[in-house]
Amino acid sequence: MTIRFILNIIICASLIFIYAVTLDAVELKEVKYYGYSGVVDLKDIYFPADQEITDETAKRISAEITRKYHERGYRAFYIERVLVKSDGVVEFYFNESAVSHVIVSGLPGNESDRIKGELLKKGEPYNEEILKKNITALKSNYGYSNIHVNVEREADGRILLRAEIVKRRKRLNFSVQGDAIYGTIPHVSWQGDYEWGNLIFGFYSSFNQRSADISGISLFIDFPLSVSTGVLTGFNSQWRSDYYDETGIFSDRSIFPEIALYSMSGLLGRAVVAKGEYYRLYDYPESEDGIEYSGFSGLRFFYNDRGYRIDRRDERNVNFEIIAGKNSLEDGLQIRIESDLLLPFRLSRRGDLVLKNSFFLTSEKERLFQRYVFNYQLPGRSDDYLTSDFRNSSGVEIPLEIYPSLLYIGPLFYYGIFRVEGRGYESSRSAGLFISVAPQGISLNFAYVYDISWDMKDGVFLFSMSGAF
Amino acid sequence: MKKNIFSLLFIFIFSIPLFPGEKLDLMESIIKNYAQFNSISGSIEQHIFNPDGSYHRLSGDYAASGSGLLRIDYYSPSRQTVVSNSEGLFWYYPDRDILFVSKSGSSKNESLPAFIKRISEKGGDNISLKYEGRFFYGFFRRAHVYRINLKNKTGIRVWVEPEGRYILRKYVLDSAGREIVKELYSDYIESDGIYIPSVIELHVRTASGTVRTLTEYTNLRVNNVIKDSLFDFRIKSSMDVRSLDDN
Repeated sequence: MTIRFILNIIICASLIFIYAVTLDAVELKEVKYYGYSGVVDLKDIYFPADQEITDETAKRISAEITRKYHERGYRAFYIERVLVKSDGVVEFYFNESAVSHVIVSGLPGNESDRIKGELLKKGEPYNEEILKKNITALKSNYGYSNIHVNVEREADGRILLRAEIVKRRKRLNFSVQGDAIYGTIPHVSWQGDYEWGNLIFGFYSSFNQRSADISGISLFIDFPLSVSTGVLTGFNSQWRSDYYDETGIFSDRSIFPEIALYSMSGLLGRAVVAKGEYYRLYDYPESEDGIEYSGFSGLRFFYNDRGYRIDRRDERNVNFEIIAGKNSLEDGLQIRIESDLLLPFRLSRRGDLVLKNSFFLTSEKERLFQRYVFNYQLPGRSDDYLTSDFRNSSGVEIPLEIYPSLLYIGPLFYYGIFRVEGRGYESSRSAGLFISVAPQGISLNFAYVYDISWDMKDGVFLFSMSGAF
Repeated sequence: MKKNIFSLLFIFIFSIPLFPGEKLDLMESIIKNYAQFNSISGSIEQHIFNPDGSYHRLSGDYAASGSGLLRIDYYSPSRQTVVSNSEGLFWYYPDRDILFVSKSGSSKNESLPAFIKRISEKGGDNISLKYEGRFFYGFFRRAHVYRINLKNKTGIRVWVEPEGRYILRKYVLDSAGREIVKELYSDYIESDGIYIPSVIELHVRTASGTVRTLTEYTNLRVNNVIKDSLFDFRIKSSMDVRSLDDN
């Protein structure tokens, strides 16, 4: 006589095992597993040597199977029932507790969708160890400060995961850069990530230069609109004392608002931009009432794989912008084109070759809207305050890795061509040596550069430091 | 630290030196080349650079078979025996009689050439192979680049030397396209038309940051006779057996 009954209820780590077994011993003919995906190897499960199986042995085997699952991290696994049939067939009905849904909150929609599959995949048996590892990896790879996961069992025994993700809300970036015109410029920025977007606030102020100085604040907000589109808007406001020419000094209070509607295709982005400039000028000879402004709009293309590269030496960056508009000091439509490029190439196991290019062109003849000729890439003449409506500098840096991922030393060479009002085209060549130290999260860069096209052969010491906390 | 070494070497072992590709026919020829490869043995020296600035150096003897079996006997800084076979990965410390075991499925132990061969033969359902074109490496040279897309949306990108003789780089990408693992192969030696890298540089993202290793092989011998028993590992009752996955 076969009596079916619920034999036991075992509570183990919030799991319930329910066995429905027979009381009589039968000769074992065959073992069948139902709901078994093979994630845990059960080949070494021991069945009675005498080939007779009873409710007690079935219970022991069930417990052994459950233990194996739990040891491998499948701690929501349970055996729904075991049937010992009179014909000698023993049937184990598994519930491997597959994941039914993953619900992510705390992130923008597009980011939530991406993260879902990286916690645990729908249909995959719930594994606590794998989940822990995936949470650790997500924190590391995406910078989330916390991930809370609630595990809920649904009526059919499957597992529902509710993940609440907290993005790293506070990120402080700090940098210091030596500048030929304004001296030393420390820059602090604070970045906050929210469900509605990202906010970046920055402050900078120069010191240790006698005549020219610059200070400013910036605030930019990035609003994602969909998986691949968004709006970036904000402003930069600055106050400075600057050179009108080699002897004259003017000062200004300015604000530069900007808005860009962007769209991404992978890491390649394009944007429609509109930007303005408002200047309150003091002692600027060309301005009658001291108030000048401009408005431009156009297109921007950009590519930056920082964050996607495991080795920072592989990071590439390309920016190109073409805008058209008007300013209050000149007649007619004006055009500005600006681009930056950074392309690394691996030469050998320890050596790289990094190409850099910076290009600026404007149709504007007024100094206020032009660029300084000498910057980091053409740093040779620290006391030369030339501005230019056209400047192109190309260079190469050859970093040699002295200590893996930490210390790099190498030569650098730059060649620049620029146009100066009333003087025509001129060129500049510079060469030097740089040292870069990059412990985790911090980057220190030093360079000593000579203007090799200039008779005086004055060297210029350049430095920059940046870190994120 | 131990965790990093384990995970690193785990990745290292299952992706070891090996192999190639070109447009799909080039890929086939490379697979054929490597099908001639039966065994390799030599000395190994590994340098491990951790995100916290610590450094470790290991050295020993290395042997592998074309079917994916592997054994490393480390002598420095301490005796360690690593065996990877069809039953899993065994990492044994004789001095302390401690054994770490990872009984992974056989497919997890699949070597890169075997993996590439399988997808080229079966292709389709869960895995797809795509030729992405030619990309610069170095300054004037262009490599053939292939991408292997897996069902879980992760991928493997393989850079192949212009003439299709050997693999230059391998990247493992997550579903968002971020590089999780980067391997650079260099200093090839040729043996009967097979090019084997004797230096492998590896970058791996871990929870504590990017770990980097440099592995150098010397005294490499190809297709010499290696007994299968070299890759056996017997667990003795005296061993303190622990799960490698827990470390």
